[in-house]
Amino acid sequence: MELAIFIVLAVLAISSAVVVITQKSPVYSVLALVSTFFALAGIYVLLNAYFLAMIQIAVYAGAIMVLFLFVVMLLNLKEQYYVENPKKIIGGVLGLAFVFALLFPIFEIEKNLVPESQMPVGDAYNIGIRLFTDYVFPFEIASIILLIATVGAIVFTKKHS
Amino acid sequence: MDAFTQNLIFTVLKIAFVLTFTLLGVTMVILAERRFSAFIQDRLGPNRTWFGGLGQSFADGIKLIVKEDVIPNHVDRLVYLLAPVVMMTPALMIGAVIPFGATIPSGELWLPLLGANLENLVLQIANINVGILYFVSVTSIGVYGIVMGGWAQNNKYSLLGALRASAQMISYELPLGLSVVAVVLMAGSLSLGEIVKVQQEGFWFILNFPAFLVFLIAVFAETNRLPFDLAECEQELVAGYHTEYSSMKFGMFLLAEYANLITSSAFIVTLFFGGWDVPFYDETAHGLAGVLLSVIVFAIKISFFVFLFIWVRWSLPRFRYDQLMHLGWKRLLPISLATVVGTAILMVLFKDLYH
Repeated sequence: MELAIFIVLAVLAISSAVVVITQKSPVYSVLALVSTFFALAGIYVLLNAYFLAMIQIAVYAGAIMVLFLFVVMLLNLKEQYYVENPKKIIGGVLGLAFVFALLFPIFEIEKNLVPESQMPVGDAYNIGIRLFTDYVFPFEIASIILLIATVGAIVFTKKHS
Repeated sequence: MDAFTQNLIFTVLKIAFVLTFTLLGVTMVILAERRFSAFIQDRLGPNRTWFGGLGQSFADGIKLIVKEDVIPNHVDRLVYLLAPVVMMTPALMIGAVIPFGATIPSGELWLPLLGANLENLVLQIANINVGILYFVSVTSIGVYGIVMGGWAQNNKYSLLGALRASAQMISYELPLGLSVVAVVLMAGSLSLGEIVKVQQEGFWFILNFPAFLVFLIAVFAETNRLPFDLAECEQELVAGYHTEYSSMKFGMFLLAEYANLITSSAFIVTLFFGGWDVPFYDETAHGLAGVLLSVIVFAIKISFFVFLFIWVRWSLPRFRYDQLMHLGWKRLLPISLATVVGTAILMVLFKDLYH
């Protein structure tokens, strides 16, 4: 049962991810990306990571992708944008390198497998404890980076006087 | 029959109950809105179909279904057809986490074929431990229906409506989420069942009035009701995001709006007014009758807020767009941040009193 759900979600995630890069219309790409995020959220639920699943939908699907859609619709790009060849090649090479970088950890996973009975529940309590003890430094760094980005965005919108 | 099969059947029954309640509720709310707006404007409103107009919404529903379904030539077909579905789904999904009555103790409820319930029956479809986040995320995806519908119709008025809707939703999600954080701080849990339980044992969270006020205003904005209905604003945008929808596809947008109204009211009640809690009464005291009373009290509380939504809609004029943004970012956001900090400080100060 769990396997069947996983296969459905995985196929949905990968096929919509493929649609994201093959679609010519930017709006379709954005919508396909949203469906990828939903499939990913489903997979998180299968992994007992309920908190992460909900945050995935609320933040990525609910806020970031709405902004993407907002901008794409505002610019009203209609299948006119295409990438020139040199950029395509560079992008392809970098993408392949990224795939290989991801492949290594996949083969390492076997060593770190935890039996399902010992698997911690990914609720707000467990994540909060981890975030504010073991990972408090990366957490704070991330918040500072976000703050800098926000300040930078505001600076850019102001005219130089 | 083993407990597992029985639970499965009870869950299906609960889903059927919640869906029926929401959809029947929608027809009643539409009628209530039309009659009440007529009262405010010194008219009569629809009062002929069946008993005093009770059948008006069903008649309208039949009319919408049998009407000619026009799909304009210039639309983006796939997204155009998908939009009403995407609009309707989140509106109905939210009901899944709302606790709508006291727990039925094992052996109390007897149904033909099923027999008495073997385990305690919680009147909530899914008591997930991130219930509030579920609410926040599902309301935030509600905007896709509007945005997709507005874009797919390929005309400037609908597109403008969709743009307004997306900007408005993103702006008001922040105060919405932050005012919910204040409630989570007080309850100490993200699970809605737990939040109702804490309110039942202590006090209703309406005592945290600033959080309630921010939540109420943000919910008005999220449901796109007047004074926040800039997405459909008929004087400027014809009908905004559903201008070129006809027949039942338009009906779906209408249904979704009112379903959202009911589920949002249910959430206001759950978070701030004790959910199904009957004040000064022990729901477990009289068995099934007590449980039934809690469900009825919950429905009455919901009706009150639905009434408030209607009342506000027919009393206030619409915001201008800059006023909307000003209210969202410069007023509600600081207030909700202050509420979170204030609630946290008060909770530390009165810790002994509270727990």
